Amino acid sequence: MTNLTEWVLILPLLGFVLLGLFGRMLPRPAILTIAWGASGLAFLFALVGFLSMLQTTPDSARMADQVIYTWVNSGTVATGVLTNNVPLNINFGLLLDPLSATMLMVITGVGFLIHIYSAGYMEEDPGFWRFFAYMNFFIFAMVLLVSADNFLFLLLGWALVGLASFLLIGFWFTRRSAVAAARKALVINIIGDFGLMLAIFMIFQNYGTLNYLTTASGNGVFNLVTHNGVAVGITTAICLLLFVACAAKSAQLPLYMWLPDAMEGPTPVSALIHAATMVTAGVYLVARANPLFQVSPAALTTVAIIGAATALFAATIALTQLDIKRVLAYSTISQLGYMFMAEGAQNYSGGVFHLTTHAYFKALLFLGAGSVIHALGGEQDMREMGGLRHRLKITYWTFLVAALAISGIIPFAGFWSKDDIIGSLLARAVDGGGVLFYVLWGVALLTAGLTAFYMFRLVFNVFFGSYRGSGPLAHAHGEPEEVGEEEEAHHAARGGFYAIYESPAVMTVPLVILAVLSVIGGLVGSYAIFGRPTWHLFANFLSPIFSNGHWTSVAVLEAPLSIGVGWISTGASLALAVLGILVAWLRYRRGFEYKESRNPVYQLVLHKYYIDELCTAVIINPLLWLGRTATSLLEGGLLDGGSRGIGWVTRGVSGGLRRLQTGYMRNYALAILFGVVLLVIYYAVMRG
Amino acid sequence: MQEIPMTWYLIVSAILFTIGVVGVLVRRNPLTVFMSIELMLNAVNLSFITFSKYLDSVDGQMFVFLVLTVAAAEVVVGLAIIVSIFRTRRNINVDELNVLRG
Amino acid sequence: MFPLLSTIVFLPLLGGIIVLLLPGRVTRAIRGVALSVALLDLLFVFALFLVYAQVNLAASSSIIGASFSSTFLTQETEKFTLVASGNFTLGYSLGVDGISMLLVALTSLLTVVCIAASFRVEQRLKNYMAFMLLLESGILGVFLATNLFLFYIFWELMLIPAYLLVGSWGGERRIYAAFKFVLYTSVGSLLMLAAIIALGYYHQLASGTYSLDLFDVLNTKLDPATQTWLFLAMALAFAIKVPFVPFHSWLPDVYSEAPAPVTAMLAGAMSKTGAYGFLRFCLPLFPNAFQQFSTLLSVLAVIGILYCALLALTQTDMKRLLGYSSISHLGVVMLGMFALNVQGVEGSVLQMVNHGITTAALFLIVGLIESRAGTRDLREFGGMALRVPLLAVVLLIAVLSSLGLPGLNSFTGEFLALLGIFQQSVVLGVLATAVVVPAAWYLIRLFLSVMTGPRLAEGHVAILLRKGQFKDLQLGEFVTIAPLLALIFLIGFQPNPLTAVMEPSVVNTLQTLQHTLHNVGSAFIR
Repeated sequence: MTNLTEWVLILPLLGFVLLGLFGRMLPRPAILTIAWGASGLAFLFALVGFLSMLQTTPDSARMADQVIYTWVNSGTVATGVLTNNVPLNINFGLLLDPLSATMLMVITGVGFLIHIYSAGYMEEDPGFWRFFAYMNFFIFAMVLLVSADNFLFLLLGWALVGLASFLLIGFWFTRRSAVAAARKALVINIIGDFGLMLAIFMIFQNYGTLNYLTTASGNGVFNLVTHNGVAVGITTAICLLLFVACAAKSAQLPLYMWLPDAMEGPTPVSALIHAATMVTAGVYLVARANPLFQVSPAALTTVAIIGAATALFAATIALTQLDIKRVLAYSTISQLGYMFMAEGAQNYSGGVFHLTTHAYFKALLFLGAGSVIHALGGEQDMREMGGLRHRLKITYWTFLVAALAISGIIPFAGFWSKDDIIGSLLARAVDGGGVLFYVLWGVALLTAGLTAFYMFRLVFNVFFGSYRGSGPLAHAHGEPEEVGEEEEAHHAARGGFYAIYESPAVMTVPLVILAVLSVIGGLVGSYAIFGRPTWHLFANFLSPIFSNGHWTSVAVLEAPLSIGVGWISTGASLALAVLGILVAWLRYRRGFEYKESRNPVYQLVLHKYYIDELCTAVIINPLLWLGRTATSLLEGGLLDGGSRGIGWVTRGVSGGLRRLQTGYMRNYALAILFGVVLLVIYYAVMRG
Repeated sequence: MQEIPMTWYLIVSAILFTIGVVGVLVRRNPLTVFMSIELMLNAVNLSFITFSKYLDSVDGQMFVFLVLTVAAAEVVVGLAIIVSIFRTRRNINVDELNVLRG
Repeated sequence: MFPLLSTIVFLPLLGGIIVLLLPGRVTRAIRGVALSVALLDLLFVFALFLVYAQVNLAASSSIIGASFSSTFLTQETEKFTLVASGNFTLGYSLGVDGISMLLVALTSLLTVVCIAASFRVEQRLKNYMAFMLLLESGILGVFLATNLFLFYIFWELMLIPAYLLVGSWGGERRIYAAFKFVLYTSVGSLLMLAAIIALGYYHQLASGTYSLDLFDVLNTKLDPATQTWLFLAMALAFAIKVPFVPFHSWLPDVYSEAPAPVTAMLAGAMSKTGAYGFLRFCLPLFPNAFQQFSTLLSVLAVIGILYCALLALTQTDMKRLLGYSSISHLGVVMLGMFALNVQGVEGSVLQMVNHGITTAALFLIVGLIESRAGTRDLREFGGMALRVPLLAVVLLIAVLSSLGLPGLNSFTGEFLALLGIFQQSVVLGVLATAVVVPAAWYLIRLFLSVMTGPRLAEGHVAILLRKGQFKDLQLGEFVTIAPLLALIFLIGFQPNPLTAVMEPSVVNTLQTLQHTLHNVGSAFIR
């Protein structure tokens, strides 16, 4: 098997370093050559690795673990000397197996397409070189995340993608809102890192290693899961901590708040990082750590419940949003909820399958939205759109494909993966999951209907009806120098509906490619519903990771659904999706007339359940208040005052004593004489 | 010849010392004060030598040399200070010097 | 044999004297001499590193299991008696082991950087440079002394130049800050002196000779009650220097008033002497007391970590913010040490080095901003990245390093230290790890409020910007900070060389503890 993972990793890093150091001086073609070259070659290498893996038989040979260097050794010398010593040995190693190969394909593939697209989208931005440097850095970090062979380097990639996300959200750093969003994203992501760190500590404490798998260089956690005498409670704790990290990265309840705000970043960033790749890292981690989760049913149930709650919660918010990108953001959160539901039902390959198809159609949706925004000069408010299908033909058709895919309409990619998930929930319910999984199944179905509705609400609002805006904004979106107060001045220069033009080919070609993938991307998993689970190419490819005992000692529950029951599930989800589209069509096909409803439920949903306000009031403000109070009371009053008080007492005492120091020599001499006389008397009388 | 008893030396020493103490306390001219201090030191020296002689040990004489050296150094420094005070204040009456008051 | 250690310690002192002898007008020569002395010292430290590696690392496998002193590199020429009379001796002895090796390297590097960063000083440049070199001498002496008497002398020697540097070249409230600093530290060091004298006395009781040589004193077994008192006396001095939380009140004032390079020296190098003292003296000399108090001190460290992080959240003075952040991060250093296992202690030492690098870089960069803007109030800045992109980049790197971004240096130390404490106590481990969240918050707030946001329209800084007087990072300034930035990346990329250097020494230290505690039947070491 050809293993080129290190090159997949190094090239984007090299691109980042080159662009970061010299990008400012380089002309645009050179910047594009480096950025496209780095991501394109990375994709090529990933593809070579993937293809050669496909040709490798048997399944168990589809794994390569490559140790690059020793990161740290601690306590290895002390073995046998200190009684309390557990040697720690961490290598930087790259693991190529079906799961990481799949992830690499998605990351570099979609990443490359978005790199191409960005050349058009960011064309007029003064930070052109900076943008591509960050993008290459992101690809590097994400590749590191998915191909690390131990938890520490997973954490490394985990934090670095967070950094890339921070940098890209705050790309237009003169906007206050972008800066606030970037800070929020960073802090919430660090909460996730915190969870991951604790999980790592617990793993080390209980398993004595951080490697995933046992290799020549040491033991692996996943191989020790069942026969190391670790209590189930501890594994549950580890899994829940891992899931904290997943929830933060993948924007699950209650740590989802940063993702909608992250839409402040340039749209290609939203497509790549906040839809297709980075936010799916949580899904990846649960899939990667499946041997641990398999041991702990409680953790799995938690994952499923949180996933379902998030899916429904975010879908309801998406119903009312007016900003085109925010709708998509909530939709992303909702879809990620689906993936976690699947994993909670032990259908890990289903989760990863949905991850893949979601990467295609959600990237497409964002890029399409970006194309709309680009054409309108930065306008994101749906109230200022409408009828755009006449002006933006390619964008419209590709967007429509993506909307059908996400709504789960047969035969688009989303249908197959979503059906896989919903089916597995039902299977789990039938197979002893009990009431809980029936409820989850219901939630998944309901969310499918809602998804179709809000997605087509978006489509009809943007592309149908008549145009409601007054032409593209005269300046390019997001230029740092011209945002904010000056915006009003440019309204006069708008050119009306016919000043809107389709985006250039460099942007539309990636749209078309992604549209094709959104149509056919699901075929690899399309045979299950015809009663041929063995034909599920995607699940079979991943099966060494999830089910059998080649590398891990835990078997995943296999519960194929009987065809009849399977069709019930499929039929229900299709019916609900069609219903959703129908309702949207009835309501919005003539265009969108926005009137704010006074309905309290509507207000609640529109304001995102007031969660942001609640957080500020309950967590952030009290903390800041505490900090300020501590500064003035404890620091200023108690400690500083305490030391001042001691100084004051000392000064008072010495002020009294100084009067004795008259400065007259005679007084001192007398005092000395007095002392001498006392001494003499003491020795003469007392000791006499 | 009869040996003079130790007590006599000590009495002389004590008398000298007392004269020195009184001189330090009552005189206003720092030069006289200095001389009185010298007198006190030498009174002590005398008793050192006395003990040295009667205890048949050289330790006392060693200390005398030490005291002589210190006294010389002290006089040098002291006189320098007095001269410099006189230069700045034109007056060296010890009862009027209280610049070191705390 | 060439007295390498003594050369390293006294070369800066000599350089300081030479600088003082130069006429004050030849600023160029003063800078040149000061910098070249510091560079030469760095060179000697490098040579020491090679010698140490050759002697000790090659034989590391055989070192384990020997006595505490076996990882020390002490040459005969550097050990002689200063005062000897009867049973009373005061000796001079220097020695280096893996732990002090790293800290010596850090100190000499930081001195070079800080002297180079001080080239802009105009007032009494001669004295300034001389004091910087004297400070280096003192700190290096503290790290290298293996005699308690000598240690104390260097400990006090460090204080004098630090006091003068803060008091004469500082900001508006410099006198107040310098006084506070001296009072706090001298209270601690007097108690330490008492403890040192007592140690010698107990040694004399046991062995008949009064000696303060570390390896002699180590052989004296003290009873637990005595250990407690002596431990408390010494620990107070170290706790003030670190500083530990109730004793930290001097730090924000001093760090914010001192000129930036001095703060970088104080925060980067001098604060490590406290932590080093705990590890080098308190731990092996008073093992029972150390073990007895480690829980209490760990709790105190955790409180300090979280409390100072909370305070840093709301500071508006950049240097004050960094001061609290520094206390908070040093809490992790102490916590790792109290874990008393290899990962914890190694993380702690590693973090001392990393904290030195990162904090120095941060203070220097903030100093650059302050010297340009004339203010360090966060509220007066905004949107600077447009005008000063390079400065923004270096500040971002330093900030990310400080908040413990994996892949940069601080993470490596924090990770090991927290891993260590987590193995010892899950609760403390969790609480201490939680600091990453507020740390990210306040550090990123520092970066964002200075560098991002709308372009400034009004205020003092805006005027400077408009006039073009707010310059970006100059080449010279970049070269000054570059070594620190390079280390931030290098150590983050692979901390293994550093842990390899210190590992035998750490293991030996812990082994001493284990032997002692095993004898008294302690249950702390599991």
